[in-house]
Amino acid sequence: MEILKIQGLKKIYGKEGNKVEALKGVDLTINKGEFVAVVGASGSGKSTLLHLLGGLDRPSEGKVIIDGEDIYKYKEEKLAIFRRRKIGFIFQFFNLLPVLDVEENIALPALLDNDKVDKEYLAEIIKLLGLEERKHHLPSELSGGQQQRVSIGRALLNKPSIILADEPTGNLDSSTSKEVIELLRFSAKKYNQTLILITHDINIASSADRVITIMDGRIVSDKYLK
Amino acid sequence: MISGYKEITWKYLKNNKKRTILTLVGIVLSVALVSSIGFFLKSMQEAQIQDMKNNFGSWHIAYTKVDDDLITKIKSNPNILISGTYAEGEEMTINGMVKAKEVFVTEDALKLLPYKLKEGKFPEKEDEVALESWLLYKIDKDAKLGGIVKVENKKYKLIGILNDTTTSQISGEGQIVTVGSDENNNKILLAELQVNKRLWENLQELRKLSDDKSVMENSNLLAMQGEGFPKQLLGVLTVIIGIVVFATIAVIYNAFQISVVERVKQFGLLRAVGTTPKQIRKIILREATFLALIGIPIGLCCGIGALYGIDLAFKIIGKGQLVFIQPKITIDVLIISALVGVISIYVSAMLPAIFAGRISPLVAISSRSSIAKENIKKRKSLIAGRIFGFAGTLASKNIKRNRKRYRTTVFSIIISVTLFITFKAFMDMSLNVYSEINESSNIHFSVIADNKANGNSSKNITIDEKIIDNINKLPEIEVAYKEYNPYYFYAVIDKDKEVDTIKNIGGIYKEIKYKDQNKTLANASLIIYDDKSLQVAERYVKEGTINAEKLNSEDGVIIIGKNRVYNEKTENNFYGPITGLKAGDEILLQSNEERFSNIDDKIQYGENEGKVQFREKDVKKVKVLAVFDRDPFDFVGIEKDLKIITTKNVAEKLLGKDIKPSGLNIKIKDAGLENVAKNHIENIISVPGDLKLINIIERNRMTKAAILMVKILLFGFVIVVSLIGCVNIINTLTTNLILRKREFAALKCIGLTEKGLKKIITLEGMLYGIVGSIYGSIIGTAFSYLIYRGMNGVREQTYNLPLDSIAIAIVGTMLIGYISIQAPLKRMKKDNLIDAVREEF
Repeated sequence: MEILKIQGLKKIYGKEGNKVEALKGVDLTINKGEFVAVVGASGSGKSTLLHLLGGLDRPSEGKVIIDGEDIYKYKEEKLAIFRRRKIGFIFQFFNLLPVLDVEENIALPALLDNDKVDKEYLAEIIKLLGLEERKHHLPSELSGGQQQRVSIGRALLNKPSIILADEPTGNLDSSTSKEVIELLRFSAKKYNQTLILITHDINIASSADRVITIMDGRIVSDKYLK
Repeated sequence: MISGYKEITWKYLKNNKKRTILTLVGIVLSVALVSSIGFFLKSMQEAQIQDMKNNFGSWHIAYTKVDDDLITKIKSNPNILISGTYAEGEEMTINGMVKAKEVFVTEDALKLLPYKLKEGKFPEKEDEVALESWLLYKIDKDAKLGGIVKVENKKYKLIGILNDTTTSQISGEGQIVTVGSDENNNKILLAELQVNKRLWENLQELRKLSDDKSVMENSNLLAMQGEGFPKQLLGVLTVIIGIVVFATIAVIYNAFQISVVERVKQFGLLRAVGTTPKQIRKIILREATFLALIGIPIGLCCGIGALYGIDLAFKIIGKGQLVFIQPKITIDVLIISALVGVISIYVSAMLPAIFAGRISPLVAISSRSSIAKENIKKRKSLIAGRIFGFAGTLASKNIKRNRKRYRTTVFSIIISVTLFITFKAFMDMSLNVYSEINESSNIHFSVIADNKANGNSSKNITIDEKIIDNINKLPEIEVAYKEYNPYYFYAVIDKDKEVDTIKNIGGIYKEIKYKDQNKTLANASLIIYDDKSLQVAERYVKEGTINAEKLNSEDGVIIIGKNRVYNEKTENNFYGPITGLKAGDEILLQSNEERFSNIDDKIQYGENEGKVQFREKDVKKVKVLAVFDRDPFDFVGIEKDLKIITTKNVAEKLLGKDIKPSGLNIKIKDAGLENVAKNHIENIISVPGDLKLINIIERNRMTKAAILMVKILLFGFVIVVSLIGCVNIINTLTTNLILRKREFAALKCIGLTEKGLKKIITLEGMLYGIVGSIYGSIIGTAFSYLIYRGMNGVREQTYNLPLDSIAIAIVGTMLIGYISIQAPLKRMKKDNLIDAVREEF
């Protein structure tokens, strides 16, 4: 079942005389539950693609259709709410709120919805992530791996349809990297979520269901491994 | 765990205590400043009202035709606060010299009349009296409280001594305050009304209760209470309060902007995880609410504290002298100050909130994303590079790299510098208006001619040198200055010595031809200073030198370079010199003793109209040896004349006659020796019998106290304003450093030394300081001019560029900038380089 469709996506930065075409017209379709790895050299446009998929930026041209809706028809407010409920972001540099503890950082999307946090589910995620003993610690009291696990937890809380991970292991050592990827795969499978992940790591890429290669703002290769 | 995203506000404020406290300090100082200005104005207004009450009484309306019916109507009128009757008795003569009247007062009337007790109490029985001490001395030198005094054939028990008033001393008419008898039919009924918006209407209603000729109003008091605050000052006040409000908004805006910029990645993250722009704005505004709830009450308390603190400082510095202004706390000032604070805080927070709401989610993701693709100008920092080398070049490029940060930093310095220059200008101009303190304010007693004694006109009575010597020999005397009558002249000066402003006012200069040359004629008042007066006047010299011998040998004179001239066109007084005469210039003088036709105390300004004959044979030349910047002693001539000071020697040459002193101004060693000195001097001057002693200790004490109060208040304001400025600069500069920790760590990694880093940062601070000071000086000067225009409504004066304030502001900014970076630099020195390079937030 199709969860994500991109049509003619372009992104141009800068103005006349100073233009940079980060994406030059990308077409792509992803099905629900797929684990997709996006690879490419530095500056190839893969991060730009991920940002546009997640509604973090607006395209210069083209459409992004998620769950049958063109998300760029939304105004800013609706786009933000869409991000909150439908997308789970995991960044390379963790990006946790330094003033909130582990529990609060994970619960953030629900708190933004003014919803009562499902404490049981929250506890489940914390347990899954192995952070029970750290749940009241601040980010500054956690290791890199622990912080990344918190950001994974935050991405999972609202049970989003799509998880977008931008080099989630870029800042971690190899064993922690392995742990994190396993966690992601496990939770994506458990909650039937689509996982789209940017990586430089061949091993991680090869563990995905599908590998998309981007070069100079275009998809040059799209292979199913499984 | 937090129960809602809004609690992020509280978490941020708690985790960034230093930033929160610094912002709170800015709010507290601003609210304290606004409220203390309000309290001060109210106190001043009350003081002016109290001053009127002290001098003229607290009654509003008085009736001279009094009957029981009128008394009943007044007492039953709900608009009347208090009413009472008094009556004046027949005039009596004391010791053949001094006149006095019995004043029969009721208890209620005493509350309305301007009598102030020095010692004892007010009379309660018919045989009890209270007297001014100068009158008591005339009646019986040895009289004591509780004792009996005899006036004509009446005996009274002395129950109270009243403060001396200058008016009664000079007029020589005393008042014997006693309790009234019901048989006295010449009653006057006094009434005090409720002071509210309907004061004038109620007054007009009450006037109708009697015929017009039998009704009097206390117009001095009513003018103060009716008008509220003098209209002329409103212009100045509007500018001052406008600046304070603007500064409050700017300071708080700056603090919020800094706190948002500090957290730009966090806001980007919140946007990335789905926070709407509206939710982000709410977080900021919630912070504003929290800071308002804490900062405003503390600010109001500090405002109140400042008022009382100033009052205490005044009492200590003034060494127990009378407090002229009683601190007054009113609800309306509290409410208005709180409202101003709330509005300022929300207005200030709005822009940063909008900015925060617009932060792109991409900002959170990586630092690469924060470098926008834009045309970046290649800047050549020639001046900075030439003076300071590569460090200067780097510093200059650094500060302009981030336009937003550059603008925020420079803006905060501009605000601080503008605030300081404006308030200092206000202080300088106010002191100009209020403080004309000179040597006359240090005088305790004056010996003058008693113009009623021996039927002489006061002009002819002089003081014998023997009396002056005897007074000088008294152990309690510090100095006695001889005073002389003024002498009037025509003065002719070169045309290029005219002052344009005076030409525009008109009526001062006349054209005249002297020895076929066109010159300018003006009236001149010549005053004689004795040696002691000249000595003490030295500190007033603006240019030239004063030396009695030189004055005598060169027919020298001193010009007072400050006059008060009424401008009919603007209906205001101009304060400034009426000529451009300088040391070395010459003046031609011709005596004009016929200028005023005077009969005893009636001075008629009968100027000689028509052509002035400037006769060569009568003309004498004098040379200006010095110029005073203002009157060393209160000027006794005509204010709009050319004011000339010279020695007795020179004056006698100019007038061709002997001159003797007409008065003596005495300063005693210690105001505590007042009574002893008074007795001794009275003894000495009682012998010729045509002199009298005026006690001006009280009046001068009050004047000095008032001026000191104004000075302390104004200095206090400038200090608070400077503190606000400092908070602003410290906040901005320290944040700048904290946000660039990673950058500095990277530079150190590639080999920049600690010293080199300090140099770059210091230079950046200096460059910010210079740019901010230049803009701030221009804006501050513009505001100071606006204040000058406003103050001209109160009193005209010449505008001077606030160069000294600009210099202080520039130096101060550099200094504060330098000091504020030391602490963060020290902290960064201790940081681990690797951690700092990795640090994101």
